[in-house]
Amino acid sequence: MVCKEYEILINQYIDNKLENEDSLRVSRHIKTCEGCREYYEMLTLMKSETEMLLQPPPDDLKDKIMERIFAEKRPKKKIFYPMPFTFIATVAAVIIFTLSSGNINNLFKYSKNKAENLAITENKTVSETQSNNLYYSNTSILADDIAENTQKENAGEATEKNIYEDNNKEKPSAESLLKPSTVSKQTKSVNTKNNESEKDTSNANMSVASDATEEMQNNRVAANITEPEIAGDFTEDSANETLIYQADISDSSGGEGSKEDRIQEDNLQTELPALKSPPEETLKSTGANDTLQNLGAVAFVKKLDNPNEDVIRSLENAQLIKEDDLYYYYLITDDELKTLEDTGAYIKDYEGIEGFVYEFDENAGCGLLIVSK
Amino acid sequence: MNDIEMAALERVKKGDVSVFEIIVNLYEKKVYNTALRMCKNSEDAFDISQEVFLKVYKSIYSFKGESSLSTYIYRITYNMCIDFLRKQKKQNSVSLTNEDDEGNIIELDIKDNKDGTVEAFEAKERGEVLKNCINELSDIHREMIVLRDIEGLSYKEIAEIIGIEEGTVKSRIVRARNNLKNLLLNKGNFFDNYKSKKVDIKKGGKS
Repeated sequence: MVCKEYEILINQYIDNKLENEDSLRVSRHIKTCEGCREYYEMLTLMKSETEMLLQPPPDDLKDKIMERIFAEKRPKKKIFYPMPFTFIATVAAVIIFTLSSGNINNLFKYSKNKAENLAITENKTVSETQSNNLYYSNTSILADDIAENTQKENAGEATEKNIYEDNNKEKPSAESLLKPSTVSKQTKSVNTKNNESEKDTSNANMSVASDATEEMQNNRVAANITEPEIAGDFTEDSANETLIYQADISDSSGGEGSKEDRIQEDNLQTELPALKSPPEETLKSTGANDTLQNLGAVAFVKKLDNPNEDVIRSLENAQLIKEDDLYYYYLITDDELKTLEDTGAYIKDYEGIEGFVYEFDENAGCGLLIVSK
Repeated sequence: MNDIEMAALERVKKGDVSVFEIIVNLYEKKVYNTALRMCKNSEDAFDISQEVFLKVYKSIYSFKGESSLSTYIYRITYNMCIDFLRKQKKQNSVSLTNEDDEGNIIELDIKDNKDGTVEAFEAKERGEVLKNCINELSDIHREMIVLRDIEGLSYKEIAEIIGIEEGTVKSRIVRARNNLKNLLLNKGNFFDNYKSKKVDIKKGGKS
C-alpha cells in the first residue's frame, strides 16, 4: 500500500513536477518504503507503456483533411477591411450630419477647437454655394479636414493607430490609403481640384456615377459599404475616384426619379426608435469614446461571451473597422441596422446582445456599430 | 506559438490555403491519437480529426494567440470528443467495432517487433489489455491518461484545455492512474512481468 502522503508526490515525481527538495525526499522514501516503491514502479511501467500507445495517423488522413479544406469556403474574417472610399465618405457624411444637426458637442468633446468652428463656417458656405451633385464630395473633404485638424489638436494619433492597426497588419497594400494622414492628403487634393474648377469635379462625378448606377441597384451608400470582399489593391487615384463615385451614389438617391425612394426612406427612418448613448463609464473605460469621436462614428455593441449568432450573421457583410478586447466596431448601414433589428436584437437598447447604437446618421444611412463577439 | 506556425497561419489568412498542410503535419498525430483514445474507435477518430482541422481552418481568425496553437487545437479536439461522447451516450449505442479497430491499431503499435515472436505476442497482448482498461475508465479519468500520459501535456496545458484548475488536474491524474492500475491488476496480467522480475530479484538476493 502506498503511503497516503506520498501518493500525489510520487505521481508528480513520475511527471518530473517536483522541486529538488521534494524530489529527493520521494526518491529516498521509495528506497525504504516497499509499498510506495511498488506503487512507483507500477505507475512508471504503466506510464511508459501508455506512452507507447501513440501511433501514426492513417496515411490518408492528411489528404482527406486537405481535400476538405480546399473544398471549404475561404474563412471570413468578421472584420472586413474597410474600403477606404466608403470609409471616408461614411465618416464624412456622419460628421456633416452631426454638424448640421447641431450635435457636434455630443460627438466631439473638444468642441472648443478652432478647426471645428472653421468647419461649421465652411459647411455653411459649402451648403449654400455648391450644387447638389457636389454636396457629398465636398462634405467628405470638409469632414476629413475637420478630422485632421481635430486629431492634430487632440494628439489623437495613438487612437488612429489603434483603429487601423489590424488592417495595416493584414493588408499592407492598403496601408497607405488607410492612414488618416494619407486620407487627408487625398481629400485635400480633391479639395484643391474643386476649388480650381467645380465643373471638372462635376464631370468626374457624372461619369463615375453613371457607371455606378449600373452596378448599384440601390443607389445608396449602403450598397457600397456592404461589399463583402475588397478586390486587390487600391491606388490613390482610384481612391479619389471612388470617393467621388461614392458621393454621387449618395447624392443620386436625392436626384431625379428617386424622390419617392427618399420619401419612403424618410418614413422608415422616422419609425426608428430614439437613439440611445452608451453609458459614459463604458466609453471611458474602453477608450471607445475617443475612437468614436475621431471617426465621427455612431454606434457600437459590446462583445459577449455567448454571442447572438443571428446578429453576427447579419453583420457578415458589415465593415468591421476595429476590434479590441470588449468591442467590435462596425460601420453599418441602416439596412444592416434593420436586419439586426429583424433578428430580434434590439441593439438600440442593448438588450439581447448588450449592444447599442451610439448614434446613427439617418441622413447618411450609416453609422458605426460595435458588436459582441 | 513558434515562428513556423505563426508564419503558416498568416499565409493561410492571406489565402494560401495549401500552407495549412504545415499545421496539419504538426498536429495530425496529436489530434488523431487524442481522438482515438478518447473516442475508443479509429473510424470516429478519423472523422473527428478531419472536423477538428476543418474547425481550426474555419475559425482561423478567432485564434488570437492568447494560448499556444497547440493548446488551442487540443481544446478543439477535446471539445469535439466530449461532444461526440455525449451524443453517443444519448443514443445509448455502444460501438461494437472497437475490438476490430483496436486490433488494427495494435498491429501498428508493435510494428517494430518481429511478427510471430514471443515478445511481439506479449506486447500485443499487453497493449490490448492496457487499451481495454483505458477504455473502461470514466471519461474524466480517461482524458487525464490521454492528455498526460499519451500526449505528454503539462498540467497547465491540460487545465487550459479542459477548463479546470491546475490543482484539480493534479488530483485527477492521481485518481485516474490509481483506477487504471487497479483495473490492470484486476483484469489482466499486465503487471505479471514486473512481479515475476521482482520475485526473481528477491530469489536472487536470497541465494
